[in-house]
Amino acid sequence: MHTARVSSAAPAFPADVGGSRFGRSISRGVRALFQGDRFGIAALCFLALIVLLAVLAPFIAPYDPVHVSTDNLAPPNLRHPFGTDQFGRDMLSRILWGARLTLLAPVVGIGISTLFGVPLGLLAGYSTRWMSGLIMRVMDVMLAFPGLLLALIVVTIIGPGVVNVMVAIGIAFIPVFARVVYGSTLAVRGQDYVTAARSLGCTPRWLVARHILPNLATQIIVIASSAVGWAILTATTLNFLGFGVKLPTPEWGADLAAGKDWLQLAWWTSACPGLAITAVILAANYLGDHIAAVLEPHSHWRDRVQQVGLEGLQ
Amino acid sequence: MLRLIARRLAISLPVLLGVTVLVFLILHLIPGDPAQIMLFGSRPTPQQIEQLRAQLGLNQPLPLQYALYIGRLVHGDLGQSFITGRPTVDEIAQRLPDTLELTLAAMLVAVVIGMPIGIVGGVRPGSWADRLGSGFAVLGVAVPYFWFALVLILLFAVDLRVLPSLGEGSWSAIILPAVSLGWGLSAIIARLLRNNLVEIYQQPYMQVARAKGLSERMMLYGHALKNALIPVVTILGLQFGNVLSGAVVVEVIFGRPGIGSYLVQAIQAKDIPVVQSVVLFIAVIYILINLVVDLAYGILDPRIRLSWVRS
Repeated sequence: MHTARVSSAAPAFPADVGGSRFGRSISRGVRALFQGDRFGIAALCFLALIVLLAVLAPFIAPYDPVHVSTDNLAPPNLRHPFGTDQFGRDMLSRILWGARLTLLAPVVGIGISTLFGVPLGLLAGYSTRWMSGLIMRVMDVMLAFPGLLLALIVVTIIGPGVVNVMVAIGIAFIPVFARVVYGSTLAVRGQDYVTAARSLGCTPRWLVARHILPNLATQIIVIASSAVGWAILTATTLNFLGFGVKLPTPEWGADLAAGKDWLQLAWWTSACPGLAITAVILAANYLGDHIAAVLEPHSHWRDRVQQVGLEGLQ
Repeated sequence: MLRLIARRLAISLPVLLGVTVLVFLILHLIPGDPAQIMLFGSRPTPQQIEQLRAQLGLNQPLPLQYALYIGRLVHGDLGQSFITGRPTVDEIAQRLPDTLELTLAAMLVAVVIGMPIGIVGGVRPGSWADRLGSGFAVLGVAVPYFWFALVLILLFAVDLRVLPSLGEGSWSAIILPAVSLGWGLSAIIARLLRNNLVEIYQQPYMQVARAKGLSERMMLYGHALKNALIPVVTILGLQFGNVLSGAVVVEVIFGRPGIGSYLVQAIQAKDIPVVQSVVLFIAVIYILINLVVDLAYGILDPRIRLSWVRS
């Protein structure tokens, strides 16, 4: 995993064949994802399909997802394969459209936690004792709250809403990123190649950006991908509780909450979004495990994530 | 041992203090004037707002306000609900047993379901029982518990009519909420225990035990299980907070009057002192549980005790 390059100014591999080094490592990574565990590959294909369906929702959804009709609470039939809800809205169309927000929220949320958590972890791992103490104590305090509770606190402060749910998820996951990156930075900064770079006169900023961060990249990808399942669950939970989208905007968690009141009369109004959430979390978990296995095949740290889930890391 | 407890407390206390700072700041981080949020809806006059600000001490500098807040906390005063005007402590004291009951019942369900599945899989890895168990473990963490709760209600309360879905009181009313809340954790326990056992069965001391002709039963209960359970205990402690916060959703679904449903109502109504108090309670319980688990861990495993003393 560690490329023992001594000089920061050393050229990339000689004779770059086709594209930049970065581009090649990306394409190599993507190819590696299609090898090995068939569950992981299946999960990848499934999620890709769901994303595609979500993107194409305006073209393939048979009905307008917010269109109210008199054909309400109709069980699944030929005209409405997933049935209709209490306002006669087509469930299939709502699932297709709902996939957009349901999938966007966790992805943006994890993006926010990466964007803030990683620099905080690097800063704590490679700066003065005082600074690192301050950052990590704040992270400890945030970790003293269970993830969902932290997200609820954020929603209390900034109020409900689609974007605010994303922010809440992002903030709730910052300390996990910060802590893992902090630990790894401490481990990496003691390595010979870092000492060598420092002795050559590397500034701390350059050192972190060019030598430490690239070596943490796989780890960051692994945490981020392992966190997606959790983020989907939390986003749909917040929407289920009514802190996210405003009806009639389709979103799986909110639709599930609406379907809960019609449980006895129309099981499909809650079963469709429920099954959809389950399938996506299942696939995200498999994909997370798969990405971890591909990127960090020998890491004990990865085993821990796989065994106990990310909450166990906290 | 006393030194150990002192050392561990020295780690927890700053965190506890930090938690109070964060909880205190909730009111001040909300955009807008707390006094105005409090009088929300009643079209207050500027004088009324000013009066309330003085009454709440909002005109004082923030550090002083925090000191006063801590002072009140120490005396068991967590503030009054914006809406009912009742002390939040009273309300929480009334509702907390219900939530703790649900949380503990869920943990019990998790252990009762998770351990046998983990043991069966760990003793015979690769068997059909192990595959079935692994499938359960994967599905268990993927099914959102709020949907699982609905499925349970539909199955057992609506169709079969064997268990009540709403309310509390009778012992049977806790079964469905506890199962829906504990089932995800049972999957985590099953997976962890299975992997631990598989690893332990490859250890030299297990081969010695087998060579000596110990029965499978003795090998499992006398040697393997104890060692495999230590990480499970840690996970139970770590997951306690997640189960406790999951209770928020489960209480809403099953209409249980615990602190979770109280919290959701308070967030919806912008009743900030209630949010602050409930959040503080949950965080403190979470920290205390982990403290106890860590200490229990140290008592169970001398190696860990030693590593603490050395560090």
